Amino acid sequence: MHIPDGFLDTKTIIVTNLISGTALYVAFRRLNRAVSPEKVPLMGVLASFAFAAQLLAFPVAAGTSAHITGAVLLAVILGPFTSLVLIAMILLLQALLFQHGGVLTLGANLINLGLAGSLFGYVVYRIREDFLMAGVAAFLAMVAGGVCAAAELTISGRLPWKAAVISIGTAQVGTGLVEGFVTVSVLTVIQHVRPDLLELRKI
Amino acid sequence: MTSLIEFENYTYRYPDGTTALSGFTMNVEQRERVGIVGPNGAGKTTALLALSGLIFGEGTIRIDGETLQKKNGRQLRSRVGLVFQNPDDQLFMPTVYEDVVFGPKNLGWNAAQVDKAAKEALDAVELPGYEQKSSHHLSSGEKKRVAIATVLAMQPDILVLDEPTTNLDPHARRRLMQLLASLEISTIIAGHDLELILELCTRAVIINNGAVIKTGEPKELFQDKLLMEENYLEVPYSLRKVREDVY
Amino acid sequence: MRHSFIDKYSDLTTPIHALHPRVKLLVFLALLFYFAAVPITWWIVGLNVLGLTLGTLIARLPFRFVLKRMMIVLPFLVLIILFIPLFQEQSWTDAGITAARAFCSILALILFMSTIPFRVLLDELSRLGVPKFVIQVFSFIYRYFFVLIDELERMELASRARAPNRSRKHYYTALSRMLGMLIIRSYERSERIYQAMQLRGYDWEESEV
Repeated sequence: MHIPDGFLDTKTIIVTNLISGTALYVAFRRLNRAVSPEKVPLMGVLASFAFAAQLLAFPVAAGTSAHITGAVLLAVILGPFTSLVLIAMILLLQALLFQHGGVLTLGANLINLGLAGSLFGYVVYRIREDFLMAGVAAFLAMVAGGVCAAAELTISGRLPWKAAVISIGTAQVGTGLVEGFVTVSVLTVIQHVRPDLLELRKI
Repeated sequence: MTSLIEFENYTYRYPDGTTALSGFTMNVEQRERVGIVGPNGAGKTTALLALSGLIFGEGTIRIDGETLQKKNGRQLRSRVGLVFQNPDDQLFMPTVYEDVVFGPKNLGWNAAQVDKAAKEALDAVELPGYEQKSSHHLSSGEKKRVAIATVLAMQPDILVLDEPTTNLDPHARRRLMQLLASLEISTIIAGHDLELILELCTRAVIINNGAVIKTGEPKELFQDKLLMEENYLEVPYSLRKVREDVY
Repeated sequence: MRHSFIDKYSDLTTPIHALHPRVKLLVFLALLFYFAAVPITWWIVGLNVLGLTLGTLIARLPFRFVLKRMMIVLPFLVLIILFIPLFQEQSWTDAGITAARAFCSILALILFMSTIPFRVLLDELSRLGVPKFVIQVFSFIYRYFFVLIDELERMELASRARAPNRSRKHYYTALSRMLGMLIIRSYERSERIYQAMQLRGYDWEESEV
């Protein structure tokens, strides 16, 4: 759910960017202290991966399709703060290069995908730290993100609350199921082929 | 005169236990072009990685007399210009210019030197004016030449190429061969393109199971049907005296 | 694969291309805030569209290209417009205004990104204080994104060639497993890239991060 420019009003823009900015700042501090040389190409290429994966269309129902974000997946492999930073970078590039999501709405989109996914999703994952939990976390993260998006649009006066929640919520349940499924699948493949990838130091 | 490159009884085992190189011994002299051939898994790439100081095993490797160790690895590494098989792994900057100057910049050269090195390197690979192009949008032949430029810019003592003609169409391959022939720098070419080695190299080394089997003049070595087949290779077509049926 | 990318026209020479990157960046951000915040009337919309169209002309960007990229906002707009008849709180005018805001913003974005080469943008961001390692990661993403898309496409093509009539469940499973392989290949590629970087002298202590 990438909200484009023009769909949020000024106050919402400012508040969401402040929230996201703070979260990013904290994540950066953590990352800066711990990032080592090999991590730079790794982060770049995995972010590229998530970027590419987000373009895949998974057919859901009658012509509509869902897209995954991979925030929880990245969090499970690289850690929540790295995941958040990478998602932020991906969002910026998507906005600039493909006009997918807006520039002023980056804060809001980061909340809906990054904070909901990389942070909240990771917390849920940590309850049991197995693949199933990762799938559940990914699902819940999508739904939570959707609720946030609905809230942002409502507060901006673009959509009435009920309409926003129903439409976005329904869409996000579908997307969430796909995201959960794919997260578990990908983790299973990694476990099978290169389990050492799951043992990386997580920031 | 000391050899430019010396491998002395070099052994390398991967973390999972497989022995990639075992008692590997070979030399490369100044101004030589040497071809390293062998089946997949023989240890060609491992030898090249070891020469570049990216992996460390047992035994000795000397570059122009200096023994390669972890502590001098960084300096010696820039004297060996290793070109990977896949240029996409080696061209990681958005523009050609940034990729070519990456090496010189890391060597601490000043802006003027860096710029000069870049220009000369691109001229040497016959791609002048390519500075602002984005590497992703180049043809495989051009990418390969830019990859070579990225290491030439560091003015290495030796150019080392791993499977240089993979994925090149005949025209690009021919151009690459002309380029390599024109560069006056000691060269190691590892790979399966026997015809390339026949044309360009003065000496060939056959390796198998991590060790050197035989070294000699490429034409002599490659004509030896028994030797080639024993090492899972084939006599190159241009040297065959009899037209054999495909088997 | 031929990629349509926003940078296609960023190397042209027009007065807009020639503007200093920081100027373009500031003007662009100002425009975005303007479109998001200003109470809009049809008169203002008309003026803005005119101004932006003029900008597109001066920057010599092909209209088809610009229009195609603008269509991205459509799904969202449809979502908003769809609910107008159901809930009395919103009116057609409100929806129209939102649409106007969205279209103007995106036009400004397209104009901006098409007149500034990506590397120049990164340079500018670096000068504005963005940490070096972030710029490096951005650079990698931009560089390898197309490579990965191509890999994904090849995998998808191969799988389609071997199973033309697939159920959705099968499609999902296949796609997920391909993504799994892609992430592994990406990881391994990053190891090789790091080797390539080391080969050219990249070392933590020396490079300013």
